[in-house]
Amino acid sequence: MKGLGLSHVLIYNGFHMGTNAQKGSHEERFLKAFEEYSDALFRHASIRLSDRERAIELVHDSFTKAWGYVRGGHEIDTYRPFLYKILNNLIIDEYRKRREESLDALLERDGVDEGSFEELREGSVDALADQLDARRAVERIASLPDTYREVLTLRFVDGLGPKEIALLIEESENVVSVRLHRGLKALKLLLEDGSRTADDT
Amino acid sequence: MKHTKQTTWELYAKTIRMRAAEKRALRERIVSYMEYHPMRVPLADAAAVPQGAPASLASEPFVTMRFSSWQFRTFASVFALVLMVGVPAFAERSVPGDVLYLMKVNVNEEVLGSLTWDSAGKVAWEAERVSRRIAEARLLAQEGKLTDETEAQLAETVREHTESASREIATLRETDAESAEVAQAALESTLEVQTAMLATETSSSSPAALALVIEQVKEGVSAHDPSTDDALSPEKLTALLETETTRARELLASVSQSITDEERTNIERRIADVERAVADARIMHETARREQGLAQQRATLGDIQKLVEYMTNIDLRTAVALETLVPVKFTPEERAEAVADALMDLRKAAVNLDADKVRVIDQGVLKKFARGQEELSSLITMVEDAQNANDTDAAERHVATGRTLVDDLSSMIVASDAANAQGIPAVEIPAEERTDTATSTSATTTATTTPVE
Repeated sequence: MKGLGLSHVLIYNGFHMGTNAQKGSHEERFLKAFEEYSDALFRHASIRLSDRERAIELVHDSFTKAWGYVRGGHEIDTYRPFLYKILNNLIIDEYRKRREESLDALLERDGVDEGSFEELREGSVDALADQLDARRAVERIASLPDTYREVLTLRFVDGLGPKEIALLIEESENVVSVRLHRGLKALKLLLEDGSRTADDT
Repeated sequence: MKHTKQTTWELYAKTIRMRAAEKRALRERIVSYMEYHPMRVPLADAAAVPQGAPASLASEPFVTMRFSSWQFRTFASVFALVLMVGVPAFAERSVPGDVLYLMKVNVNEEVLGSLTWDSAGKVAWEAERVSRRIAEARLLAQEGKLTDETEAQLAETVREHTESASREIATLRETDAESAEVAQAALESTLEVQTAMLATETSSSSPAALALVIEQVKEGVSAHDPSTDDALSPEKLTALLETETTRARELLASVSQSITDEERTNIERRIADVERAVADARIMHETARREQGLAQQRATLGDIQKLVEYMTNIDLRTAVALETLVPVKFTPEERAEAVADALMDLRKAAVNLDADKVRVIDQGVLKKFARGQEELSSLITMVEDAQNANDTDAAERHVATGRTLVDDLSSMIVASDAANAQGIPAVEIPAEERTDTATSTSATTTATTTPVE
């Protein structure tokens, strides 16, 4: 008689609770990631949203989504970019809900071009940032369209390199650089405007 | 420079942070989320899910279990065995109205029937099916579930089986007349046994219509065609009878553990009767009484079949007395002895009746009684004559007539006593009789006076 080989049969399992073998290390790693990145994520979210309560909610959602991914059997090598990616998507969703696209769309259109050579130089961006007062700049970031807020926050608050940002927001490095450049310019304008109005008063 | 500037941004940004309480609360929420959504599978297992197989299956409510081919084959063969053996075996116990009954009748019994090639076997099987149908009817009747419809259906099936058995017997008769006789006897005895069984059903729902049908088919089966006798060989029949008797004896030996001593004695007696009947039949054939001999042999075949049925069927043993199925056949000696006993009884009865005669007052009755007495004494003389002439048959006949006469005369005495009790008590009434009458009279007076009060 010819062997039938192995036969797979689906059997109802109730709910498989898993064994404790690897569980500990998984949970430990996840909670360690929480300790390490929850503050940075909160900072990022609160700057982008300028809403503390909402920022906490989005951080919470980021971690629960990440946990769902882990318990689905997926391995997360480095938590930082993964968590940023989730949070960024959540923030974008949040903006869509708030229907702020009008201004975004306006600025998006001129953000599509490749930008000038000047704009593409890393140094020039840093030089530009240099000229700004950190405290006021961070405060005013919230006034910028999110396209700029996103990259500026990631670059100067979270300290991510242009390459990392490009990967995260799924744009080319060039686009990131252009956005950083233009964002800083816009920020500078805002700050100058602000100081002028402040001087006036 | 770059670094200092970035540091100032970052330094300032660092001041934006969750309060300790906020962070603690958030952590608690996340930890409780993790507890409510624990890891489904250890990572090692998830990694073990083979490429191509849907990875989610391992952690879903359905899991993939692997069976090796031998496990699969074992399971499949057990399942097949249940299907092929278990279900039909279960169906065997079904009665009309059950789900599996159609399987029992149309599959099991047809298959079993088709396993028999020879006509004799086929007849036996059809007879068995008749028994089964009647047993089902009885079972349903006992449970009060026998509807008219079911009964009619069963009766129809009984008719069909009997007819098909009769056809087989006819076919068999062409090739082997003697075996056909055996088969015929078997069929007849089955029907007879079943009639006896049905007669024991006293409940209101007893299958009366079925009993009627069996009676009819029995008549049809036992209708004897004398033209078939010519083909019969008495010697072969005798041989067959002897084989059957041996079989019956062997059967008795094998069931002797499960029957009572009384039953065994009864059966042994019947087998002895059969053997004597076989010997008698041989004598009849030798003395050129062919027809009588064949009839004897036929009857004996039936008796053996009934005996075999009685030994093998426990229901039958408990429900029906062997005497009703196969009455004892007395030997000439036993018969003579019985006649002698009966003669003694008759004489005693004649003396008693003569003594009782004084209690008869009515002249008309007395005249009739005297005539009866005369007849009785002449019957006694006739029995004595028959005894002397060794004519047991005639003696038995006269004894039977004498018994009836004694019964009649006794009832005359009783009737006359009753008439006397109504009127003036006779002077000759014995003491105990008188007290009886006195109590009965007082009883009647109280009975009549009570309602008035």
